[in-house]
Amino acid sequence: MEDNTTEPHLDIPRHIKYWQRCLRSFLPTEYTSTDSSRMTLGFFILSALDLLGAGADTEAFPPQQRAEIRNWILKCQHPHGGFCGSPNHRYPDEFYVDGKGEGGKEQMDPANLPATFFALLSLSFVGGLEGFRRKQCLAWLKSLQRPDGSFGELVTNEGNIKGGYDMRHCYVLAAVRWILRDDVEMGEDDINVEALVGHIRSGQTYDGGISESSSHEAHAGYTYCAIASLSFLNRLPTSASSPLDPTAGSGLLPGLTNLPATIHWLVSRQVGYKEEDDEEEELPLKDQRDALAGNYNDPPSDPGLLPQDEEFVGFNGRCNKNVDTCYAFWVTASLNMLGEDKAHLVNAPAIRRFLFEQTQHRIGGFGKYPGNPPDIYHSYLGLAALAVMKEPGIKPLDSALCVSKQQREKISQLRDAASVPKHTYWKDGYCYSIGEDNPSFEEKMASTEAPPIFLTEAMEIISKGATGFPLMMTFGGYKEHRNSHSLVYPRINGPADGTVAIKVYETLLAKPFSGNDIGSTKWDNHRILKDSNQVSYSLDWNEPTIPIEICAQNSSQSDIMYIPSDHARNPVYFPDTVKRIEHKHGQCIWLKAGMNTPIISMTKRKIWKMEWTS
Amino acid sequence: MAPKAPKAPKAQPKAPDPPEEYPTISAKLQAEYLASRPYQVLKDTKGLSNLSASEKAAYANYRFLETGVWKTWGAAQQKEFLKTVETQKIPTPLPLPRDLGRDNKGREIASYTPEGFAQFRKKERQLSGLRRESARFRERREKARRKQKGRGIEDSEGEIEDERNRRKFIGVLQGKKMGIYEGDPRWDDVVPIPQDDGEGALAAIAYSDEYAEAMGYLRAVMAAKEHSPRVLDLTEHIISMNAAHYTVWLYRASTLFALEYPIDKELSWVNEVALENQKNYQIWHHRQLLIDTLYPTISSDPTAIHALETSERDFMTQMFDQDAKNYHVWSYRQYLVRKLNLFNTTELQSIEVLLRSDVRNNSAWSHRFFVVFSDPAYCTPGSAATAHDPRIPADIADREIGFAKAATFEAPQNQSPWNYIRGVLRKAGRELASLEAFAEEFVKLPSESGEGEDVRSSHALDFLADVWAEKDETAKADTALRLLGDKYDRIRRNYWEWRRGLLDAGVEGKMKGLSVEDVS
Ligand SMILES: [Zn+2]
Repeated sequence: MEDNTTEPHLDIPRHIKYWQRCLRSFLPTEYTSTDSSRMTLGFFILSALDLLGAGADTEAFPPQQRAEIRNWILKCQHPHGGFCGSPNHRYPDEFYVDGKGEGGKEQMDPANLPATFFALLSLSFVGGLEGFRRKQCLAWLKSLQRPDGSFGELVTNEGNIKGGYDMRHCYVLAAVRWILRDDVEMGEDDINVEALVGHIRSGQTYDGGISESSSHEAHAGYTYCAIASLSFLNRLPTSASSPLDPTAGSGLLPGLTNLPATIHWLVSRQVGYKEEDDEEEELPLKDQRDALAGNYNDPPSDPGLLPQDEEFVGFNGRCNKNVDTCYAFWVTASLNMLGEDKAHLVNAPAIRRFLFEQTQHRIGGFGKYPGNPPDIYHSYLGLAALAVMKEPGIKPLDSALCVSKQQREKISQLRDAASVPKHTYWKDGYCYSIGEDNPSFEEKMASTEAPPIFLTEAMEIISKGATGFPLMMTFGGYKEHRNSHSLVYPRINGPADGTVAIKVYETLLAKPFSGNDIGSTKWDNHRILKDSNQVSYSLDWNEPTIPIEICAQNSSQSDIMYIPSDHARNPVYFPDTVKRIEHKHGQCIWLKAGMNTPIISMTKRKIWKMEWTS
Repeated sequence: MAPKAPKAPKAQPKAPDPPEEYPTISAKLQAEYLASRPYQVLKDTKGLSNLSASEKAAYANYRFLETGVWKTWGAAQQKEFLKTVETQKIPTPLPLPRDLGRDNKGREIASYTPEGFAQFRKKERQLSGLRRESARFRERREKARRKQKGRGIEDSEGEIEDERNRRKFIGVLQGKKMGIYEGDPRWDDVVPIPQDDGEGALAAIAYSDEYAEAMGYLRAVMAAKEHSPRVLDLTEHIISMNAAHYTVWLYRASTLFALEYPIDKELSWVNEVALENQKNYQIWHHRQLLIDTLYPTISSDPTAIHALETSERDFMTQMFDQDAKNYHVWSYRQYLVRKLNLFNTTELQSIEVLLRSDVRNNSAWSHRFFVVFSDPAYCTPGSAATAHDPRIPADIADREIGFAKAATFEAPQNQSPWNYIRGVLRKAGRELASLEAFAEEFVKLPSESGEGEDVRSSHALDFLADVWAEKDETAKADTALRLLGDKYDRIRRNYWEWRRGLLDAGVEGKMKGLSVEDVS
């Protein structure tokens, strides 16, 4: 109070540095065990930078980097809705067709609910929800609900819902649903909200907390998940002045069965502790009582709350457990959702002391326990806890979504924008998307070129005997191997007998992949070269450039350019390539074919076989 | 710096003596290059005008040789020319040494010693020989496989072993160990599907080569829906590096079931993994899946069920020895209690053992609450933990209160039994006030003059504040809350003050009354 310079504070530049390091450099090999939740870590990185004012919407991020991150996230999207946690869970597109699942779908390594939540949030930082398969995602969400109202984290090809009975799934489900459609009734297509609320209620425990699922031990993380779910579903009793549940009389189930008990349980999570591990030795009764009650041998003269230097106060996640950085967030954010005033029921100066002096690391970030090195998870939640407590220098936080309030607002706008119908138009051989509400919508639509002809039309041309020239088709065969990019062009010839033969061309765009001489028989370019030679055709090795730069030049704010990952769904001209192909083969007909159309999957299968088994 | 020029040239310089030693192969090649051009060197050192006539003639002939001009001459002239070259002893000029490039460690090969270079060449030759042989092996097997249409090709163990060693040797020679799967001929039929990370990757991890390789193979077998014994090894390998992989466990389970692999064998493997990965979560679902599959096969055999109950309990005891509050183990235990109907005294006793060693183990308290108040023998099915269950027998409620009371005497400042007592009272539909006298054992409020204050448990004080609010003894309740904030639970001063405010507003009692939910 007296001396502001000794007052602990957040060293913003140092934390920004920590997060930028996480963004730019490889995480150490020890993070391998988190490979399946890279999307979660990615979100923490983007959101932490946003909270610190160095986010993707600032100059700290060049547009190119934003676009690349966006592509990467979209690359983790599954064709049938939802995202996976790491590219290690995502197969090339051709694996998702011709399956035994519903409607010929093949789930492969199925999409994952938490990954979907974090992917959506991350997308909101780097350019919005364009390219996100909203409809498929909503249908997929519904398929994750069990009869008891709970949610699994994935659903297998056979339609089995997998994953624990876990309050975290309820949370991410409720959040994703909010992001996609707010709490708008959707009738049949919606999840069973009442069953979900019932399931959350059954997770409440005899001591006022909330557990993983029915009848387990109360836990601050799950308590947070339950309360945040209820807040997205508008089922929270919040106002202090009217302790009566606001949903009473509305016929809806109230979310929490015992609000005072929950508050009591939450504030009980703040505990004093000694630095050394004295769990084993039983303290004499009086001392023990004092220590646990936050009383100290030599109490400060001010009946304030700061403990003595050798004593610390932190948050635990369960009764009689150790303190840990992340619980500062789970607890304060939970209280905050129960009413702005409730967050003040905890001892804020003690939280700051704990975070700044005990778990903050000198290289930036926060560790789990006092003295631990920082990790991404605890660094984010430490920051978020401070944001809940309105720490200066951090953007105000939305407790339920765990992003800045500003970002939540942005997400609401994105959702509203997504409901505006979109149209495509063609210009200079490129495909653009534009919303009906765009001021230049009429103008752009009026000036559109004719799109490349559709496959069906092309087939008709072939069947009518127009066989004098080859047909070319690009499809989303933008493949990236470790060191190479390649485009795959199947070439369709219409011989005189009316049958259709497909020939495949592949061109490597960057330097050819070079694996070990022996091991990589299937992936090295020799074989690919060989195939190309078989049809005596191959393109320049160093060109064409990936058209992303061209996109960046062409795109204005109102036009969202299809960049390569969108190319997976929308055919795009690659002008240089087109020129070269036409130079070699004369006039071509260009086909437009969506990613999962039968002709494309057939072709991909064929390439697959040619490359790998010939 | 050009190396030593050949000795004072006479009319017919000889090829120089082979040099004694060169520091690097490039120096040696350079010297050989120059040695093959004695007249060029002579001209460069002395200058053309200082050369003798015969030297000049020899130089000119050397130039013809070097440029190849002589090849355009007539046959007779060529013959004449070559004869002169011979008599003048002009050596054939060697081509300029080519760039030797770098080795796999990035070192300039030119900087090798001549001896090192010879070894290097030898190794390269050896390597390409081995690679050729290895490629032949692959082709042979591939052909056999195609003939057999993918099913069971007969391999000679010896041949496979040879190939495995060959690859190991290749790894050694190339200075880069071959991957586990790449080096194993048994995996040759699998085409790994590498990760497509690309630009803009978030949270990119410096994967080890081992992980990246194994993952590529896992992806490939999953795509091929292969369920074979080697898949068990592969999934085990992945799990050892990334136990949180959310689909590898499912894939392993489906493989186990497809192979009709013995469940007890898998359970003991899972035991080991669980003991090594305390924090892992997926493993417990895997275990549930195993039990779900095993159970129907033994459900009619009480001895087998009992044996399973015992072995599972033993295993959990082992887990609890490391961490008696492991949330996942407790989750699993509840699952097991329901599955095997373990609402029995053995279960209660085993919890008591844990509580005797640590009376603060809230997980054990929580589990006890579950076992006692979910017992289908006397509980209302589906009654929530927070709800009054009229079917709870009075003696059960008494027993539980007695049990918790004893624990509070043992450690008054332990919140677990205090919470437990509240839970039991709510379940049994009893008032907090029914335990007022008990709580007062720990609390003496000060008299008007401020004397005689003795508080041995902040939780008792908290409990009494609620009791008194319930009984409308507002002044006493206020004192209790004030003492908590000022003295016995200073951390939560804001909270206790807020509670006092509610008390003033007359909300406190009402709030409690209204919020305790009655679920029909
Ligand atoms: Zn933590």
